[in-house]
Amino acid sequence: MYLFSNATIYLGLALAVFSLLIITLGISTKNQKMVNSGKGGMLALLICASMAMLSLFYLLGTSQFQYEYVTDYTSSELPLIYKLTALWAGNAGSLLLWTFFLTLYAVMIAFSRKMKGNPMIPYISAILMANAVFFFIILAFVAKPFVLLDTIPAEGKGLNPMLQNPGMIIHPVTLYLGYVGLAVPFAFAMAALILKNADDFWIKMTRRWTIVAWLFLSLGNIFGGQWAYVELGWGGYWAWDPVENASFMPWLTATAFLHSVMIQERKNMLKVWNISLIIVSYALTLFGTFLVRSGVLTSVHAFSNSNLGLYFLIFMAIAVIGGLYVLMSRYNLLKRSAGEFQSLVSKESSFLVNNLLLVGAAFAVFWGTIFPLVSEAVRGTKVTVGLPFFNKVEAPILLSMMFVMAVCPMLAWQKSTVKNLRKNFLIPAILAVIAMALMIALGMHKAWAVIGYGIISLLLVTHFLEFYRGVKARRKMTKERPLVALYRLMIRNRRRYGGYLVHLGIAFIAMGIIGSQNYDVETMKTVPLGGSIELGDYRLNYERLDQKKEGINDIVYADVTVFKNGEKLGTYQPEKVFYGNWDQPSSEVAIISSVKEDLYIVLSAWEDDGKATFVVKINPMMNWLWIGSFMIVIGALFAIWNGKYGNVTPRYTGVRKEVA
Amino acid sequence: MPDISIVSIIFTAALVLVCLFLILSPMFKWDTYFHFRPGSQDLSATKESLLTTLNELEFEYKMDKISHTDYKNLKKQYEVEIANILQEEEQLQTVSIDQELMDEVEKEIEEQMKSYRKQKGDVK
Repeated sequence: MYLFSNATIYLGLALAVFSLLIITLGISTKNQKMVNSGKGGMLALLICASMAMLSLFYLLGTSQFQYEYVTDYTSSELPLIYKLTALWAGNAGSLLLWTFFLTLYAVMIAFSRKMKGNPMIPYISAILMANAVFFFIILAFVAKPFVLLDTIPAEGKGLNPMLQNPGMIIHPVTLYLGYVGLAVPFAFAMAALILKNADDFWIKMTRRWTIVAWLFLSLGNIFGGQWAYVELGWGGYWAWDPVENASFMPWLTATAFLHSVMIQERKNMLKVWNISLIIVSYALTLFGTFLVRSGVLTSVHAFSNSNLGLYFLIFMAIAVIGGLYVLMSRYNLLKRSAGEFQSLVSKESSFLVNNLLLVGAAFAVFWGTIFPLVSEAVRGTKVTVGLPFFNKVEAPILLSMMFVMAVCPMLAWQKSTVKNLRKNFLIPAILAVIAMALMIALGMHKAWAVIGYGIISLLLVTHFLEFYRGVKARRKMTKERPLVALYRLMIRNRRRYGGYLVHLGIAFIAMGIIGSQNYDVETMKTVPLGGSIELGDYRLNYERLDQKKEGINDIVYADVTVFKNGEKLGTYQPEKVFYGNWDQPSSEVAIISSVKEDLYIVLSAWEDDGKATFVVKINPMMNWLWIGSFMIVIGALFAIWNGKYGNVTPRYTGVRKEVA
Repeated sequence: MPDISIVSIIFTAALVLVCLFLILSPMFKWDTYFHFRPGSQDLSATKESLLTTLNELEFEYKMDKISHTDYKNLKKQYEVEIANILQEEEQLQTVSIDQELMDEVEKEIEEQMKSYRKQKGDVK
């Protein structure tokens, strides 16, 4: 196995280098055979990466402790699923997973039916292969997955218990799929520029890729938040940790990109901006990896003990400089024949505002994340930038973004008039104001929360009206029944209505965030056996404290019966788990979830006489976060689903000039 | 040095052979060079996107997003563009019809020439 598994890596490196060289040579000598040979190499590379993955899965699954990676991240009593998912618990394995996705995407593009015979393919392949060379160099020389130990240990060190959670099985996978996915539009953009194609062909071809990458990035963030909520025991889901920021930044810029490409498609504008955005998004994925792997910043994430970050920083620098060089060398070409804004009140100008806000938000996160490094370099002290900074800066930006999202559906492309906007805006605005007044009347007095919910109400109403008016307009023309009209309207404009569904998802998530950030209540109490804790409408009776054994782990748990307004909800068991092979115990929280709020119970400590300390929290509207996330998935899938409509994008031209 | 089993050697050799096959086999195949998309599709693609634009414009007008005057002006603008494209297409068609006609005429002339030569008896 040793020979085979290592062969997959070194052969992979050789193949990646070979494919890159032969494709480049094929391009410069216009030799199709060479390009095809390179494409064959890409296929072989995918086989190598798959074999490497299978080998590592096999070694982990069968607890081959003679391998360093297996010893470092698993132990024999670990359930099989966690043995296997330990593949992405460490540096080497997670980079192997990344490499596997990269080679998979590269093959899917090089052999795609849609792109058959397209002259961009060799260029895209070469760019993706340059990426592959970097990753294989890392796997072959820096983070080696198949290193043998001198002595075979009897037992492995085990997997960090925090990572033994269903959220952790899928969180890294989705995040990497998102990260790697952004390499695709980047490669297309570069190839188009190198070939001096200033049109939007590359955008059309990568439309789905970008949405899929964005969806995976969103899922990666959501699963990460969900994991933090149930596993870390502090009752929150987002802490503006550097690593969370690392995946949030490309999400923000990719969201901006998804919107601004529509302006290029329809109005032939913002070409330089779009290419810059994709370069930045792609670079941010590498920057994020640099942050995670370098250990320059303290974080809850587990990789910070290697010099890997430096390699990523160098690679990022090369990618950014290369990307910018190509962009600048084609600057005049891109500037030529670009469209222009005709009206301040139009969909494209609202998209532009949303772009600026998103990029602004990304910059604020970037600044807050690297500020400790900057301050250390300049003043010699490492300042920590905490939650208050991010919340204070991001909240207004993201709320303004929600406002733009609310107004945008009411605007037409190219030219809307203020009069029409006013006409369409009046009812939603009145309804939003009524909603805000109601909130105040019902006792909500926090300004940000009222404004936030007001904007969300506006967004929900404008989106509802957009669907309603769409159906009405369609029925006027086709006389279809309302549901049929709604269905046909949506499937004929998948991207638009899928986008609206995503907007609704974001609104729901914002509802959850505002609720849980502004109206959470918490108490920490030590009670004797039989004692009770009261919080809000809830009463918790502490019935029993006991201990049990699960495998090599000891679990201390408390039986807590929960009542809401005097009505019994059930008995719940918050736990503290002491691991046989891990120093730090962890809390298994008890969560009683409803659409209105979550009751979050943590068993914090206990004494010999049976007294126990509980942390109890009420987190309002938490479920809306997950409902919203689900909507995002539905919306994104709806938008990319293959349909016969929507392949042709409207193209708006500029003003006709009567005189010149 | 770790023990290397026969099975491991066989698997590795198989992997190397598969990879070699994949990169070498294209070298022995005939293939044409990149096929570029013909430019003639551009016209119909533009026409199609202009028609879609017109459709979207009408829809947005019906949804009260643009004023009547703007709608009328924009509609006219795109209709003129479509008309121009239709005209261009027509001209192209005429050109191709003419070409076909010319080819046929040439063929006929050639055939007549052949039979003429046969009659004369100087076909080689």
